[in-house]
Amino acid sequence: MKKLCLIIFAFVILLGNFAHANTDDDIAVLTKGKWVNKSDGYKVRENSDKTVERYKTIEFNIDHTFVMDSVKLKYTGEWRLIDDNIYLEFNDSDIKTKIAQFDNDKLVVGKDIYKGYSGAFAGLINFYEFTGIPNATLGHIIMVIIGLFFIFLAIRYNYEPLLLIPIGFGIIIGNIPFYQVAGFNLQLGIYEEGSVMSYLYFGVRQGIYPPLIFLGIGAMTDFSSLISNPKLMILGAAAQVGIFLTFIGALVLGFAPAEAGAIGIIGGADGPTAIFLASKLAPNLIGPIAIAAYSYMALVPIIQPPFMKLLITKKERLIRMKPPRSVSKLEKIMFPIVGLLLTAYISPSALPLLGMLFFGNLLKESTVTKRLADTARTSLIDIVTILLGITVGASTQADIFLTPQSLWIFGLGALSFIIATCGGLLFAKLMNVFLKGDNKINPLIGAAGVSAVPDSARVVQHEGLKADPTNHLLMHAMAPNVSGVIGSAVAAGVLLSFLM
Amino acid sequence: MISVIGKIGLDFSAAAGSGVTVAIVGWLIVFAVLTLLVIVFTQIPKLIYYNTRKKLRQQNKQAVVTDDDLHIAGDVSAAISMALYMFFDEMHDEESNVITIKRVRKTYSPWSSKIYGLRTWPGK
Repeated sequence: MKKLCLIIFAFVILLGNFAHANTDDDIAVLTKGKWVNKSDGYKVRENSDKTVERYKTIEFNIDHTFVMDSVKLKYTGEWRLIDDNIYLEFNDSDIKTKIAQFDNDKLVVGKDIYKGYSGAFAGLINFYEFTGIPNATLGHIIMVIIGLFFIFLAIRYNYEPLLLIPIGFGIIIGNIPFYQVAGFNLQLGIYEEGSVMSYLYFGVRQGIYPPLIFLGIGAMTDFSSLISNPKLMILGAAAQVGIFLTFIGALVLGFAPAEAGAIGIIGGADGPTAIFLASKLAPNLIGPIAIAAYSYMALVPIIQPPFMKLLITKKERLIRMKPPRSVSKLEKIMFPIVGLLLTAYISPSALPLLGMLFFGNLLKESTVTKRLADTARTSLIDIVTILLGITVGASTQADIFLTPQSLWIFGLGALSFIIATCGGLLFAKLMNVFLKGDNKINPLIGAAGVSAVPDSARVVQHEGLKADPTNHLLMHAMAPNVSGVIGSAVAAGVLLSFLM
Repeated sequence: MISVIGKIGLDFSAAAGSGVTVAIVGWLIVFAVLTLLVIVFTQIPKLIYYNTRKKLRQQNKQAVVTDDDLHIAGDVSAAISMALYMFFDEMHDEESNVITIKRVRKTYSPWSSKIYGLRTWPGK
C-alpha cells in the first residue's frame, strides 16, 4: 500500500512536471481567445480626482505577435516563451519589456492579473463596458430623479413648462452614464470637446443665448404700464437688494468675489441675466447657477405668497390702485431709445442685455417692423429657449454638478430670492408712507420687482384676487416686473464692471 | 450635509472690506439708473402735451389744465375702442331690405363644345 502511494505520488509529480514543461500546451492556452484584466485607477477626466475601473485585453497570436488593447491605446509587440516566463517586447520603444507568468488559469503581467476568455466573450465584455450600466453612479440616478421631478412639476402643476421641460429632459440627457476616461474622447458628453452637446453649450458658455432671449423678451413686452406710472420702476430697483445681500453672504461663506457676484444674481430672478453673468464671472458655476435661477423662477408661486402674507396686512392688500392711463405711441417709441441711452451709459457692461432688450422693444413699438418683431418674440426666442434649456439641463452631469458648492449655491439662491421679494414688498410699504389719496399703491406689487416675468406679476394678481375678487393688480404689477428685468440687467453690468 | 457645512467656514473679513462697498455702491447705482428713468418718463408726457396744454389755455384763459384732463385712463380708452369695434362690426346688419332675384346667364364657352371633339376629322 505504501509503495502504491509512493508510485501515485511520483506519477502526479511527474505529470505536473510534464504538464509544466509542455511548451506547446502553454502556447495553445496563451493563444486561445483573449486575456482580460480589470483594474482601478483610471481618471475620469484630466482634472478630476475620481478614478474608475477599466478593462484591458491582450491577444497573443500564433506568429508570436501580441496586441494589448488598453483604455486609450493599442500596443503591439512580440512575445517569447522561455521556461515559465512569457517575455512581452513592445514595438513602442518607450515601454520596457514586460514579463508574464501563468498562475493556474490566470496570466500575471506585472501587477495586473488577466483572465482568459473566448474572443466572443471578450467582445461582450467590451460592449458591456461601453453601456451605461457599469458607468452609472448614485449621482447619475439622483440627477435623473431630479430631471423627472422637473418634468413632473411642469406637466402636473404647469410650473414654467417652457423652461422646466427642456431643462428636466436635459438633466436626463446629461446624466446618461457613458464610458469616460482621461485622454479618451468619445465626443458624447457636454464637457467633451467636439461633441454636438458641447457645440450647443457654447452659446451658454460664451453668453450668446441670454442677449437673444432678451431680444425676444423686448419684442413681447408691453412697457405701457411702466410708462404710465413711472414711479413703480423704483420697486424694480428695491427688489435688487437680494442680489447684493446674497453677494455679501457668498463672500462670507468663502466664495471668491467673482463667484459671489455670479451667485448673487440668482436673486435677480432672471435666468438669462444669471447665465450671462455666470459665463463672464464664474464659468465653472454656470450649471448650478442656471439651474438654481430657473428652478426658483418656476417656483415663484410657492416661494413668494408666504412672505406676501407675512409682510402685507389685510388692509393693505385691499388697496385699489388708480387705473393706468393710456400711453401714446410716441411715448412707447421713445421708451426703448431713451431707456437704452440712460441705462447703458451708466452701466455699459450690461449692453448686450439692455441693447437687445430695448432693440426688441423698438421692433415691436415702431409698428413698421412687425415681421422682425414677430420672429423675435416667437420663432427666435423659442429656438433659443429650447437650446438654452436642454444644454443647461445637460450641463448638470452628476460628477461635475453634485458638489458641496452646488448645494451652497442652491441655498444662497433661495435666500437671494426671498430677500429680493421682501425688499420689494417693504419698499412698496415705504412708498405708501409718502403717497397720498388714490396715488397709494398696493404693496403686493412690490413682490413683482424680482423680475421673473410674468410669473411674479401673476402671483401678485392671484394674491390680490384672494383678498378682493374684484381688485385686479396684474397691469400694475407688470410695471415693477419689467423694471425688475432692467434693474437686474443693470445690476449684472455693475457687478461685471466691479468684479471682472 | 453636516460635513459639507462644516467644511465651509464663515469669513466675515472677506465681506467687510470691498464686499460691502461693492454691494452698497452697486445697489445705489441700480437705484440711480431707475430713478433717472422715473424722472425722465415723468417729464416726457409733460413735454409731449405741451402744445395741447397751450391750446387749451388759449381757448379758455382762466382754465387750469391738469394732467388728469389730458390723460385718458387705459380702461376708458379700452371701453371706447370696444364700443367702436362693436359699432363697425355690426354695421353689416343694417341691410337695405330689398331682396332681388337675378337670373345669371352663363356666357358661351367653347371649352366643352362638341364640335371641337376628337371625332371630327382634321381639315374637314
